[in-house]
Amino acid sequence: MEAIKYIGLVILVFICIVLFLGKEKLFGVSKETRKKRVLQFLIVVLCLVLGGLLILAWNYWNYQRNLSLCQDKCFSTSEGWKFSDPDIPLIEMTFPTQEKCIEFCSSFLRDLQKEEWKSIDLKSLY
Amino acid sequence: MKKILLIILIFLGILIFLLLYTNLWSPSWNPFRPAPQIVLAKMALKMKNTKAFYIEGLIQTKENKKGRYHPWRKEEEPEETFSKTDSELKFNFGIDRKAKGDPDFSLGLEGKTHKENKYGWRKEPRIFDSSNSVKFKKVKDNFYLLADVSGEPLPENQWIRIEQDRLGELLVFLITEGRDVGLEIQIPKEKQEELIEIIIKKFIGAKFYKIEKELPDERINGKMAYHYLISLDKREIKKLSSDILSEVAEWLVECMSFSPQTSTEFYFPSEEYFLAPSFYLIELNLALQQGIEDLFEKLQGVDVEIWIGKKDNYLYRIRLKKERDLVDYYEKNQHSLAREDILEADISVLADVHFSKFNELPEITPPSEYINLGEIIQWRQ
Repeated sequence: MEAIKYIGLVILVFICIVLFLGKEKLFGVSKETRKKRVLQFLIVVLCLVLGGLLILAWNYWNYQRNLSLCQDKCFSTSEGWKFSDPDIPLIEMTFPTQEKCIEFCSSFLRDLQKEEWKSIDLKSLY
Repeated sequence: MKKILLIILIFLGILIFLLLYTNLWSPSWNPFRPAPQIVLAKMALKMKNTKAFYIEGLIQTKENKKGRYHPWRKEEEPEETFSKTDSELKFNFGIDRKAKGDPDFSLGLEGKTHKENKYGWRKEPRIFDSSNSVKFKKVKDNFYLLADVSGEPLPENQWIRIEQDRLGELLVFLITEGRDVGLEIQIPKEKQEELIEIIIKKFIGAKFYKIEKELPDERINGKMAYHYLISLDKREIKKLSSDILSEVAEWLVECMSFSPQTSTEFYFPSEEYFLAPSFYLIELNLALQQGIEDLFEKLQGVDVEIWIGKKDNYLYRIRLKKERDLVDYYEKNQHSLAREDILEADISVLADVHFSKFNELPEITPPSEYINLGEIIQWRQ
């Protein structure tokens, strides 16, 4: 959902900038030329939308991958969605939605796979 | 011209994207900035694994109240009243975890309180000053204690050595004030570790705080740090503290036993002393709950700022700073028959805790002169 917001914003900003810079090019020209320029502009917008859809698809694929990584670490409780991993017993967190829990779980676990965390004992409590 | 402008704009867009993506420019709206929950979780793991660190803190509270007391006799003039409390607690803590599960540490506490009050029926103000200090160390298999606390049965300005496995004897000594009543408390090393585990487990998953705001990053100790404003949840903190104290009471009872030789002779006192620590803890719990309630009500919520290193994930600082007008609070909580007008009332609280010297092994050495706890017990008996 966050991604849709940002992609939409980028497309909107692009349309505004192009319309602002190119507004004079649509006036005082022949109908044919205007049609051609509008078409060109729409093609670019379409490309942008397609690019956005590609990003969303990648995002969805990424989410599915995160879901399979975190499905057993994020579970529903009466207080919300709880993150708990027996390999990292010190960290337990509750989130309002499953999406937020998966987001936290995947980026947290991804961070812990980095080299600097390799030497750190995650299993002990203290 | 327009093409150049477009190129510049695209170039600027790419530059901004890169700055945000690499977190070189990281305002709170940066979508590539790590979520505060991740920063906090990583901080907890990093601090847990830090071999050594040092904590220095100061807690100051100042409370003032001025009022006007109206005597029952109408011919008497109203009297000015006031109460003033200044208290300060300084503490430091250094830990060296060279051996896993068996760290050396040093804790120092120094507290001062100054109270002044004058009520309508008393002409002269009353002044009360107190200062207490405690130093506590653990070096290898021994604890060392230096306590200058009024009302405690320990000798002043004298280091006392307690062997690690005989820590229970110190508790017995403090509870019974040195009398032999047949009470025994055994707290071997394993039991001490069990207590630490019990307390840590209570904190895991507890939702006693909420991240309110991401504040601009700040440089602290020469390093960039994430800066968050966190609000504490009164209900959860009360529950957490109460749960911890009841678990500690349960743990303590498991460590206690009667000495068979003396339990018959001192049956009544023993039973009384056997229950004493649990009662102390219940009393402490009640006082703590009331204290938390009062603090939250007086400060109208407790917000704490924390700083966490951006690169190293260490916790660098915790600060609570608040000032509040208390006129409404006192008027609301005043007895309906009270004959006092509240003219002025305020409170200010400052708690500032700094963490430093990460992984710099501190020098925690035993004191050069000390006496053994056994000698004091023998001397008292």
